[in-house]
Amino acid sequence: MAPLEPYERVLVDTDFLDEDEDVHGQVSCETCHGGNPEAEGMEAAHEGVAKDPTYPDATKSCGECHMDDGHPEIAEKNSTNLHVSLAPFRKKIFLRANPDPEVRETITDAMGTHCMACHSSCGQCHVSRPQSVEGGLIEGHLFQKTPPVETNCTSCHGSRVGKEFHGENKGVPADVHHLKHSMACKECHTGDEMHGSGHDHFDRYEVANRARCESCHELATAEAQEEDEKKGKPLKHPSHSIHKDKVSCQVCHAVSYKNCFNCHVGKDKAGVAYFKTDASAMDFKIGLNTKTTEDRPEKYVTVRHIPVSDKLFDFYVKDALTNAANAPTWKFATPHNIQLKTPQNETCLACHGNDALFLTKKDATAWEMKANEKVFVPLKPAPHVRHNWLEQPKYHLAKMECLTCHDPSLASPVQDCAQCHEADSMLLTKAAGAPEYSLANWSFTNKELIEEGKYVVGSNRIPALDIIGMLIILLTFAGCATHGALRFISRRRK
Amino acid sequence: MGVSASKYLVMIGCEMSERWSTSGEGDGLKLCIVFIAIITFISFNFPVMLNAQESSCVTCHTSTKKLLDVLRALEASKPKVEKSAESAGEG
Repeated sequence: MAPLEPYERVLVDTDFLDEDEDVHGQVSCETCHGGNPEAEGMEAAHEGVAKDPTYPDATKSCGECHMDDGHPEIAEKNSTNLHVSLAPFRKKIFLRANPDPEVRETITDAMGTHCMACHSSCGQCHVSRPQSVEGGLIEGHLFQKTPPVETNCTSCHGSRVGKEFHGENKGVPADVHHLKHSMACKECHTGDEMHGSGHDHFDRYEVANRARCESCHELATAEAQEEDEKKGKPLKHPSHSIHKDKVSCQVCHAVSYKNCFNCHVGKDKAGVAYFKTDASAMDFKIGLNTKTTEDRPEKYVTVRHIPVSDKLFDFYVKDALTNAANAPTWKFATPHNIQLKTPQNETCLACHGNDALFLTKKDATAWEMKANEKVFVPLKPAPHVRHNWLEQPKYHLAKMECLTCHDPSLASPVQDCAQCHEADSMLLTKAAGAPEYSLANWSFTNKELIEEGKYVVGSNRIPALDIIGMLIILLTFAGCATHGALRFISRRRK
Repeated sequence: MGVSASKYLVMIGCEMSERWSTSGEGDGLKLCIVFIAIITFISFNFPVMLNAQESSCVTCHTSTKKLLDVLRALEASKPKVEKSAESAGEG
């Protein structure tokens, strides 16, 4: 996003002064911004002017009206708004930090220079671009009930979420919610979530009213089968009931996303702050959920590498993050590039047994090992090894639908050969698309399976051939008996 | 409260005075009360309205030409704060 020209940043649209366009324009400038419009000259007039009168405390400027009925608690809760407080930054760094108070003070100062500048505020969402991207009025000071996505949401959340959502990462499609349904951030991230919950949270995933897939997408039940105009179709695919509460939605429906590595901050010779991060990389990793909660019980979640290093603050103080191993560097993530079909949900075996998808020790550097030990996934034996109780496991895995045996409607997966390999095989009725078979049929009873190249010993048969076979045997016996009887009669006559 | 509200009150005042004047009971006193109310309301809100619409802030900040002139001079007089050349990678 190109920065605004200096004059554009402070140019007020005359429409702002029209009450029908924006009621805020009826309040005198100095009421919110301070300064002295009576003073002679620009400098004197701007003395004491607050560029953003809503930061850090919005209760005075916004709260005068937005504490009342109609806007309850917005201004009051603002202090717990994570966009404003950036509280998780401090908490997560301090979790890793050296306990020495002096070191912590230095870290706090360094964070003030480098990390805490990325905050927002009421004004920096609804009136101007955030200061961290050089600010500037949006729509000539006309207040925007919903902040524009490009100038305000993705101007900060651009490198990862913005690019993922809009499909700006090479070779990776945009999120289906954007591409097919033209949804903006606010469709999922409501004002209620954005304005702070009134509670102190360790991170944004603790906020109770955060965006959740389940808010729209519900599992299909006997009652809920029909498509809802807003929520779409209920989830009928059996994978949803099989993986519910075990695997996060993104594990099956997200695609490659950006991971960042290392971060070092400091000041150059001119005293200007800088940061250095290593090249980012597109990848997709499934890790263990280190913080399972009632509303996020999944064991497997997508994890993203965050730009952190144990030497992050070395420029300011050595050994700043002596407890770097206290928090993982592969962090729970909700990539914003959701697709209906993804490489890992093509088939069951695209994920089960595909070790490359899972976070292991190979994905961490030496200092990160301990930090991520609870995120690493202990790999299980390959599927053909786990199914070695079968006669020919590889053949079964290649030819059979997993769901035929791992049927969610069954109490446990099929483990008895005879359930399939016998005349009244469950495949006659359980196999996908199996019709009602008649044993008087003149074709294969499991012709659908045969068409897919799946011959099931003991199950596939042509009933007519059985009848013909039996008839031949009976006729043979009958022929022999007749022959014997005729010979017996002819001998008696002689 | 602003321009539209005051316009609305004036309209109500006019409507009421018209009705009372046609009823012909205590016309003078009622008219007087209505005018006092209107003038009081406007006098309270006038400075805010005036400030918002005609203050020196508005005069400058709604004029592209004035802002261009002022900011050009300002930019020239202040050292430009550049981003550090040592920054590297994605933020």
